[in-house]
Amino acid sequence: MSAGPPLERQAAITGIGQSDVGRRLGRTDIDLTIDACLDAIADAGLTREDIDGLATYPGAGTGMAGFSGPGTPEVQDALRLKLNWHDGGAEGPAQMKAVIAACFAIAAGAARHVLVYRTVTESTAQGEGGRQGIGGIGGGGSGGVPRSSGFLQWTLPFGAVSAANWIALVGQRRVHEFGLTREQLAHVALNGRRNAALNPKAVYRQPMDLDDYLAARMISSPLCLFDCDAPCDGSTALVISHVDYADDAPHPACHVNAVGTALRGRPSWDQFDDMTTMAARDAGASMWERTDLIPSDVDIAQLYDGFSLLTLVWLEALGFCGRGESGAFVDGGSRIALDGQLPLNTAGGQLSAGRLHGFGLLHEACVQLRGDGGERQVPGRHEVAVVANGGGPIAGSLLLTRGSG
Amino acid sequence: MSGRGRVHAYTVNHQQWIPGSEPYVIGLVEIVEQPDVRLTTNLVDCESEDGLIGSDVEVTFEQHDEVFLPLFRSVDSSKESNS
Repeated sequence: MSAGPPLERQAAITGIGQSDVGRRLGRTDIDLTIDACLDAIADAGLTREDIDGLATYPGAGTGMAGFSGPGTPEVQDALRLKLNWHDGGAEGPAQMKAVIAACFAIAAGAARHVLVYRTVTESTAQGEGGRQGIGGIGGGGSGGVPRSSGFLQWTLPFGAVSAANWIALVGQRRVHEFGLTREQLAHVALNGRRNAALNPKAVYRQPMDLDDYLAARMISSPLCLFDCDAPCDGSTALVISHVDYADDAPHPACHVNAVGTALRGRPSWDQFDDMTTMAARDAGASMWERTDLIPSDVDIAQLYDGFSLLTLVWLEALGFCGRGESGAFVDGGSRIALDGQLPLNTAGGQLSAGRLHGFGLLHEACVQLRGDGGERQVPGRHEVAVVANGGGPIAGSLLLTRGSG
Repeated sequence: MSGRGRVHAYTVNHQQWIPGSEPYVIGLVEIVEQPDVRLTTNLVDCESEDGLIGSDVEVTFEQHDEVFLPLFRSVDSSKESNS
């Protein structure tokens, strides 16, 4: 190990911003992005002229319609930014890659104030085009066996077409090895819904109880509809600054204490050495290797819930409980409630607040560290937050601490 | 290769990715010759989910023109002399 503290401690989140969030807003991705970016820049006490770095995940043209948002060239041009550093791409430690790259760019002296954003318009895209169909699975279509490339060539012919299926395999393995029950898994979703009721921007706010959850239609066992996040439209932006600006920012800065970036197992949905966990295991472990803080120091957890099962995987990966113990950890819901031992996904998470693809969780971590959560502010100490993004072979995490400010 | 495997995990898919499709079983099968190599596949002719994980399966090929898909079905243990 090199001497001195990890370089990410040269970075702090000084501004946060978010556009309108909702279902089928009917607005373009650049329109939403500009709202979020201008919001974040002003929140940091800066102007567009101060921004000299720009980053996003996953970059333009990636994935299905509405998934990627605008790329950095489009945003640079729209905001007329003069950049010393810019980055957009999908390979790396999950959605967190853009944030982590920005931290390192700042530490390297490549930029001083980096604007980082993530935009989705998946709800509007689905409304316009319908959910994209998948034809010819298992030879069922007129064209016979579908031809595909990459990982999908091994799964598509068998109808394992979605991350829901791949994650369900991990879920069923956890049922087998650890005795995970649907009643336990439900509490990730129920906790999210309870918190979403206190978040005016959340897309699903009506009450939901265990009976509602158990009655929902099955998607891919053991995952039901409420185990899957809700596509939405929205943009989230952050300003990440050199730490020497932190005390000058108008709001308490969220200092980056450690990043989790490792991938030590095979980069695969179905060949990982332990099929009860995922790359999260490695990212989580590597984060704690870079800090003297320990899991019991964490006051607030924002853990990826693209599917409820991923949150369980992250709880173990980050050491909040032992391997196989996450079902019992969330059971009953009190431990992860706003007033619990580890308040979890306090704005409702992606299951109920909407699939802002990791950045909604990051935004909420900053809101909570600042103490600006209003009705949903966690009571008591709010000094340390952890944010985790990703599932399957991609994973990244971030440990944040509250500055004085 | 023997064509034999063991079920490592499975899921019953209900979502109609193709409208009108019936539920089907997606399996993750370890190859007996090298258990850390797994195939995502379909489990066919399985009578029950009970005890499915850890159970022995054997390959059965489903032909689509020039492509043969490797699916797996349960091995009837009563027919096995030693397993």
